[in-house]
Amino acid sequence: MRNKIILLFLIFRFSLGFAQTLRPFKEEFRFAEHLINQKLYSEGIYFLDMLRSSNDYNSGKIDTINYLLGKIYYNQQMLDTSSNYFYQVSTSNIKYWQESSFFSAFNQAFLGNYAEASEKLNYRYFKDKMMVQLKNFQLTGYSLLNRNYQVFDSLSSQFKGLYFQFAKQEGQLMEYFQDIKSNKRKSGFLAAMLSAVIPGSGKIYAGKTGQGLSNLFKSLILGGLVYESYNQAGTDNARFILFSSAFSLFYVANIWGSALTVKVKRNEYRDAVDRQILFDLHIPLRTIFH
Amino acid sequence: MQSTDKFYLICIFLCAPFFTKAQLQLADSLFQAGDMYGAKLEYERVIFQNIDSEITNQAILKKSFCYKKLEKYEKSLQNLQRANLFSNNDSLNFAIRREIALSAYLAGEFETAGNQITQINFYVEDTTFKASLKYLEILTLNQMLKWDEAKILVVNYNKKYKLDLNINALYGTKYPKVRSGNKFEYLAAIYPGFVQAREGSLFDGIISSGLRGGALAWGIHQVLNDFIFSGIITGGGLYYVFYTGAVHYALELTNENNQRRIKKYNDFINIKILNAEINRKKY
Repeated sequence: MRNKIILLFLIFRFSLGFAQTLRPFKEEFRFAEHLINQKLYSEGIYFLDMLRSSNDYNSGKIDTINYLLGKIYYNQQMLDTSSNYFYQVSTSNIKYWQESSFFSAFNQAFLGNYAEASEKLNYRYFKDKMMVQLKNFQLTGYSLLNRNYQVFDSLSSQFKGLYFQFAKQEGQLMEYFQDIKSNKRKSGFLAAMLSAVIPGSGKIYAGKTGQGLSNLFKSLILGGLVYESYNQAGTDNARFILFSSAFSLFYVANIWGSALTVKVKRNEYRDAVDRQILFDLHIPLRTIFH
Repeated sequence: MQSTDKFYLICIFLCAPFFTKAQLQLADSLFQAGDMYGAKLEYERVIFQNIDSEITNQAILKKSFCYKKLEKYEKSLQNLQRANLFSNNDSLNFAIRREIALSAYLAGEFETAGNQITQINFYVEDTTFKASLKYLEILTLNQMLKWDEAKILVVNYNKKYKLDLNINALYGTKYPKVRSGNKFEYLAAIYPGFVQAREGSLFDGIISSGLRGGALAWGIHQVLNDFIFSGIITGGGLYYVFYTGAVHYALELTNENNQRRIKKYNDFINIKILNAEINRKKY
């Protein structure tokens, strides 16, 4: 009887330890999703890395792990790492593979790597018609971000507006394209010349009215100081030399600044349009996959 | 083997995976072994299974111990806020409330710690438990600059446990001066150099006053010599720049000194209170 009790106890302890290693993958997956939903990202990464390194899983399960890691890094805005994990997901699970393909590419686009984003998506071949159209839409967006108008023209001609999930965004892309084309390129040289004639006018021409008026006001103040010095004491005194030097320095800096402002304004416009394009590329991914 | 023996063995084998308490024990053993990351994960697994609210609460409490070991007090506090504080196990609820107050204090969230202690005083009837948190209540009130209330508690605490604390030596005859409010801002706006000097930067105060005085004198001198436009623009402009810089510096200096004074005062009292509490628990 005593031996039986000891045996029972040993088997119980053994089975407990054995059971810990035999948790079904479905349960592990649900637990990983729980960690993501609770925003316990560091624990999620620790857990999934542990599962990956256990080598007990087939490729389908490894895909799920990579997919979840991609999601965790995406939620933490670590887009490069997220993109790499998403890209490793294979076709063993079609649903994850589709989502991973698009997010892998989109993450690269968000980081400014438009060519890489196009490459990641270009060699993914989808059977589902909506996925094919979505791929076309995303690639069109990346070509517009890259300002590759030839590719944009050829891809956008395949827009059909069939799917409500991104029909509106297809129209938006065409509008952004028109907007970019019609945006007149301003001349830095002309801005500099205008500022040479009337200080601050070059900045107003470049689109920075407030800065232009401020520079004009400061120039008038400095000019007034130079005039008063000249009027009261002539040119041969320290006051005149000091104020006229300050005025000259400011005048030259204003001309140079006006030329640079054209470039700054151009970059601001480009960034604003790119942000809008990325926003519109992201909407259908969220709608379809979340 | 008889068939009854086989039956019992199979039952044990099949039941083992479903024992959540066993899961908790695994987490406990990882905690004892110092593997905080592994322990946190296993406690979270128990929380995820959520089979019994008492076991879930236990797991939440123990997970917060892991966070505390890793000195992640904000995370400990966030974790504890998931607990159900109105479950049937009173002693567990109290332990969780105590940990919330302690984690909030360690995370620097003194208002949260104070609120939790107020709730404990309201909801918990066990006077022994409430008494065990007196030291934390005193420390929290000190950090919230409520020294009058803290002093009353220290008197009672000292009397109850015969701790031999000298209240007058601890709190002194005057509390540290905390300079703030409208009156002080007007003073800084009128004469920032004076405020800087008063806050211990005499040299800075003199220099600041000198610079502003110099700018004003320059402006007046220029105007008197018929350089009216120069006088107003350069003198007035310089004066304005030095003035706003001085006011900003005076306010920064005062805030820094306030913090320094409060910290020095509180640190002295808090160390004495903590030592008294440690000795009390020892004996």
